Amino acid sequence: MKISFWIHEKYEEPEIVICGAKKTRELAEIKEVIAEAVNEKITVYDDGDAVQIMRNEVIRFYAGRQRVYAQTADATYLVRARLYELEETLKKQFVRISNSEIVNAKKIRRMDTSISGTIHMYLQGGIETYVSRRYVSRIRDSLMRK
Amino acid sequence: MWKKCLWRGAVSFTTCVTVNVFILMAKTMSMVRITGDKQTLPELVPEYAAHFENPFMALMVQTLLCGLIGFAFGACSVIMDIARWSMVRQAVVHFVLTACVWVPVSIFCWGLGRYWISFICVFLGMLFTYTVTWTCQIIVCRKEVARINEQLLAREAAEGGN
Repeated sequence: MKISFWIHEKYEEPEIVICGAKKTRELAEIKEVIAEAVNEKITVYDDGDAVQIMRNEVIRFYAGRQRVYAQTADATYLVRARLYELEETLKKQFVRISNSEIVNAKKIRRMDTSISGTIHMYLQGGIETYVSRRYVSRIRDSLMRK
Repeated sequence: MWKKCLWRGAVSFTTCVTVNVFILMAKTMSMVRITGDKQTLPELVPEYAAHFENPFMALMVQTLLCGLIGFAFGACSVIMDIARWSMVRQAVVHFVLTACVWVPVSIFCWGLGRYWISFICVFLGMLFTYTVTWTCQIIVCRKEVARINEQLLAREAAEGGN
């Protein structure tokens, strides 16, 4: 595969074009990898104001009261996207732990189970949340892949 | 959550009714072969059949009530997805809610309440099932969580080394 630069003053903003004889799965995967590498920021809302934060600062995304929120170590922001859309876009970095939450796999500190069977997850920033039994094996597989 | 509840309930209802119909057909065909009487029908509990003028209607209602039990179990399965509830709480609430459906249906269709001993035996059987399921789930869960914690420790050690 050839990789080259096309430098011309007409390109005010950098543009990436993937060329191929036909659209294949390989090309689609390349597009995904580039998109993730380039788009490191995510737009969130703080009291109605749009803010851009780094994706790797987000500890978890969770759904509540018909909305989706992003929580970092310092603050919680509103996100204008569905949880399943975020999960699809950020699947390499985030893992689903319940029907209403996805967490940054790199921010997981540890997990434990209580005698009554509640599964706790402890994240960086002193955040504690609950894991659904259904997703425990998915978390394990996600950590094994990284 | 309510949408998921209704969808699972509907799927379980359909499955239960379908399975019930197939079982009734198989029973009827076997009885026709054995007795040679083409008018024969699977037997119903007499106290239940007495509520209906027509045995076909009684069979149909019984099938629908079986579907209702299926609906209850299907719909209540969403309780197991509530992460912040403990397994014990999930099991207790699931048992109570489903019992609100299967107990009256069983009493009405199959005379479960006629003998106290049979009622107690069925209740204890269900309790045993829930206990075994809960025990197996908690054992499996703890093993998985221990493996996850090992991976997290290994990752921390690797990052600390880097």
